[in-house]
Amino acid sequence: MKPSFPPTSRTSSHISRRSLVANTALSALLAPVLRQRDAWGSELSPRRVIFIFSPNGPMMASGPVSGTEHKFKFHEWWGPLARHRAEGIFFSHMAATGQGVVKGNGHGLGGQVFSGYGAGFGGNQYANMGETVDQVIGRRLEAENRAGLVRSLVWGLAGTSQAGGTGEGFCAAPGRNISPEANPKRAFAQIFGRFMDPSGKVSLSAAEASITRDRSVLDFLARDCAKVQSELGTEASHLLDDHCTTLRSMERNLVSGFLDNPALNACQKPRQPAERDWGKPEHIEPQMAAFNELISTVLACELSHVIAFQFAGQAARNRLPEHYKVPSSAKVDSGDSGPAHHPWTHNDPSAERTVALRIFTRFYATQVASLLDKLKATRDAHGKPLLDSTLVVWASELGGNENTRDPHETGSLPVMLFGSGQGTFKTGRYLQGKSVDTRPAGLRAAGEDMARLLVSAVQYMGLPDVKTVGATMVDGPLSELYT
Amino acid sequence: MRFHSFRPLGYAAWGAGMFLGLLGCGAPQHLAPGQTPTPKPPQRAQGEQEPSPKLATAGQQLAAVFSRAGCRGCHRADGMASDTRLRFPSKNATAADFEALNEKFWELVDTEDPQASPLLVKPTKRVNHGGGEKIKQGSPEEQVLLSWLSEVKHGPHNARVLRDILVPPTHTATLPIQYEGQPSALRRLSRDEIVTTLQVLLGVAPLRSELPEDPRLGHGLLVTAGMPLLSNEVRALQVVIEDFAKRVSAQLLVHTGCSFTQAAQRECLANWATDLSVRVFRRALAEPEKALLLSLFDGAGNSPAKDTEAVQALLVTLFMSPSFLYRQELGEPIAGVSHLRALQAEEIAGRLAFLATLGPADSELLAAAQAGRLTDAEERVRQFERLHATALGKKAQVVFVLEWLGANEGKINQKSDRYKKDLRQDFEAKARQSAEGTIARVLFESKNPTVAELLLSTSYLSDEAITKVIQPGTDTRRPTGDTETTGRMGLLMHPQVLAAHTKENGSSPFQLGAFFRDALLCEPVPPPPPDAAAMARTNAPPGLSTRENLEFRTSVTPVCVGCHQSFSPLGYAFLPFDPVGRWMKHDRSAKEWDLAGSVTLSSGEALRFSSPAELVRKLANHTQVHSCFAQAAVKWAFGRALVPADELLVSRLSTVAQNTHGNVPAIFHALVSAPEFMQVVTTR
Repeated sequence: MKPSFPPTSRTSSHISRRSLVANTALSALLAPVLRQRDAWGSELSPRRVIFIFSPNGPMMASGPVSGTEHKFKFHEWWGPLARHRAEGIFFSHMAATGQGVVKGNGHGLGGQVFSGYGAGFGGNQYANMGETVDQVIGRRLEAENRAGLVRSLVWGLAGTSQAGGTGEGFCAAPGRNISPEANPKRAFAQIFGRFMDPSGKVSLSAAEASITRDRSVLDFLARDCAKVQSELGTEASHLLDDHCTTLRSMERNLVSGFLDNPALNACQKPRQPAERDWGKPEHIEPQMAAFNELISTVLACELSHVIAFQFAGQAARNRLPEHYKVPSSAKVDSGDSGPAHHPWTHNDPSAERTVALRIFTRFYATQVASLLDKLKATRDAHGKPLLDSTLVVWASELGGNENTRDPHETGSLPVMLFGSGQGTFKTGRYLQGKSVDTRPAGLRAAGEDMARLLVSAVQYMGLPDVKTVGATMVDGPLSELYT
Repeated sequence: MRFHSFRPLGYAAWGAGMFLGLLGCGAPQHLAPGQTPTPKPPQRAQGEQEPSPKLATAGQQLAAVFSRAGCRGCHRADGMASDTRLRFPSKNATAADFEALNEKFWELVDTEDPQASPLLVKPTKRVNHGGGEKIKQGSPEEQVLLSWLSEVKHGPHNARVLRDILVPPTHTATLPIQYEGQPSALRRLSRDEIVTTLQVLLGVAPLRSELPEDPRLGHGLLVTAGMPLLSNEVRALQVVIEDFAKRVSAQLLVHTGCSFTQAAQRECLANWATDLSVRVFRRALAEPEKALLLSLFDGAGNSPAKDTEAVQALLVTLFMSPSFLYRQELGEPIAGVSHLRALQAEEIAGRLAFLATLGPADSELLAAAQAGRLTDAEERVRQFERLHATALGKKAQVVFVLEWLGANEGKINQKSDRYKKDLRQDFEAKARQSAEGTIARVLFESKNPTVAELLLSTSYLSDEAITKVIQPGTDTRRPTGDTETTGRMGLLMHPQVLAAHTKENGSSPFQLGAFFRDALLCEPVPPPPPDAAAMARTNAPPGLSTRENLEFRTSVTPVCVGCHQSFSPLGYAFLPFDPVGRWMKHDRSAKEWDLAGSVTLSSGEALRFSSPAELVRKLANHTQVHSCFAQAAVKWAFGRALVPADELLVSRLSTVAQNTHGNVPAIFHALVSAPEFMQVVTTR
């Protein structure tokens, strides 16, 4: 008996030869994206943002530079960033987001520097209390059909499962930490795994069949999600929003948007990272290089516009390769020891502690500087350096200065912003934060400024109606940033 | 036998002489099985105005709310909140004691504006409350509190009224129950459940470690209800499933037995796919769904490569589908009951199967469901026993016990290198194997498959991997190895469990103590204040032992001391254990270990011990621990923390647990046979 294969309108739809040929150079047959349509037709590139979270803190230095707004010099620990002086706005003495407004202290507050919430709940003072700004932006861009293939990505060198600690730097919902993808090979697979071999070995008919099949799969998944949602009523409708939206977005990206996307035409599929034990500190440098490659490609190809990156999670016991010669800490009151970042923050001041904290801070600064190099060197579809349209915000979990002995200093926070946002932000400046006044009012004002800085980043991404973050209650951007 | 002021609220089990709190004017007594409570004469001060019947009833209901919320844990004479205006009296309290508490207490009640009363705004955490949110805003418990406030504003305001709300009624469990759950009809499959299901359906599965981590809050049981996959998890899972499908599709194609060509091959594969999809989705497919699914085989029949591609696409579709990744417990309305729904037959089968095996219902269970037999408690128990006796059933029980002990995720590899250097690279896997073996021997081979045996078993001491930890170590500077004082026994002293609750270095008495108090006694420790670490005292005098040093550092305020007294001694008893479970022979100060201690339970009972072994023995035989295990079973079955609607079930299971010395099968039989097992609490 002949089996019954009822036709369905969507799965049997034809992918034209022309549309496939149009993508021959780009290898992205299965990963077309919707772009920020408002950007095309103008000379402006679409906007992009990268949030970088570094764990713990420098503890003994309050900021990357000192001096006056236009005449400033780099602290040696952040020296590698000096070559990006013109593209940066450098803050010393900021404070954890919402300091003095949001309750909390230590890692429970500093760890939520990108969300603006405070102390945790349910017996866990470290739990993240709400979504971070990368999630806010990604969700909105997706809802407005301008997110790209993936609304946002969370990558990093280590999550808590690799480097320990009390939680991650980025969070999707109360208590729902996002474990960053720390394996560049898996990160590659998530984004580029479906890209076809650009060598032309895959025939067009095979490609067409593959696309059709993938569309069937995603169509089924999206419909199934909608079915489950409708069966469960309002409660599940809310709970499954994220899951179903993700599936719909994946399906939509297959169905439309790749025929006329110059970004995809211009981009090159990056080299697949090798298989190795990426959890080992000894591999951190190639790991970072692989992520730099992935980040720049994802942004240039407009596969996503929002990337969150963490060097490690909150209170991380992250380590560096042996050649960095990080001294080994004795066991400290927090129970940890060894050549890791966290235990050195709990040590009493000593020459050895200074050495260790300098090594970690310089390491982070070096990696950020090389990412900025990569963003400068990579051209987007408009032929402009990626950094022109990419805003990079780097915040440390905790701060510090020469006088503090608090291993959980949430004031004196070093924060940096790179990229002028195509003329939106006035770079090449040093702004001293208000926590230079260590009284509660000063800390509070600095925490509110940090929240406003995040509002500025959100608004830069085309969301001017967003005027606050988390529970901070601020009501607008940080005016000092703008030209 | 007469129970003074016993209120007939349907908790007959509590009247059976088991673990009864005694009313009268004292706090509840803890009684050994079979022991009867001693009635006490009512204590009443002369001339006190009696509360109205309505106020008295509201007061008794409020007493139950306070009892379950565990307020007494801190608000007692030696508790961390002893200096506040709310204090629960000791079990021997007299009328004069209540009089002494009376004046301060009424400062907590705002008769002009009851909603502004500190008695309301503090436990609901509308204002700062050291103990956190003990009563949820908008919950039925809060409604009870509001009702009492609204009644009491008319008076009287005396010690007699106070007594009603500070003495827990006998019908409630004397151990606190935390109602922190959020009911949901949506159950996410855990990593264990995904792996088991794929093994059952395909005979092959991805590694558990490849799947996105289960979302966990703290060290408690995994919550799966109302816990959807987030966007990043969907994408990460997709990569794993696609990779898995790619690896196994050729092999599965052979397994289908379809070796035809063209239409015949497509038909054969379509039939196989239809059968598989019904088992994967745990339901029949609607026609449009089936049509979409079968369209994946449009290109099949032309070559083995095409067939393999089609199978691959099918696997991705099935195992990425929300219908697979979530279990739904929708139920049907129950006449006259708004907060519960009756599970449908297939839903009962699904709940029972996943509880029993971590996998889907088999054909026999489904047949019982379709025949309507699962509404019969005996049939549910029979099916459950049948499934529990299978290899998957045994594995599921082991996983539950590890979850109860917060040890289902391996932590040994996260410890500092110096603790691992003498251990084999596969020590984490071997330790897990040893823990699984220990649980299996107690549950499946012992005559006493009880909580007590799990906490007392010494069967793992001869496991090869464990002997490496027990025997004298090679580090002469830090000698390790079990001594007579160790008295190693039971799962609490097993490296798999110790590693789950220790930091990467040194000892972790606070972490362990808080875990014991929460997971074993169901008395969670409130979170430390955000600035706890910064508040710690410094400049400890030289020569202190580790314990003395920690006690010095935490002796900042009476609140710090009070809170630490409730859990730290439990951890101090385990101070010599290093992060992988070795016994360190000496304290770093060279002083003798001081492992003795005492903690006061919320019932007022003092739990005293002189060594870790004695602590373990006392916990293993304590009825509160057995009851707490029963609570864990309810949470595990429902995939969530408890909600008020669970109270009756929890009470019944606690009774079973106490009567049977924590007999694990008996607890699960009682759970499966309970009417609540066929219901779902709904938010709709």
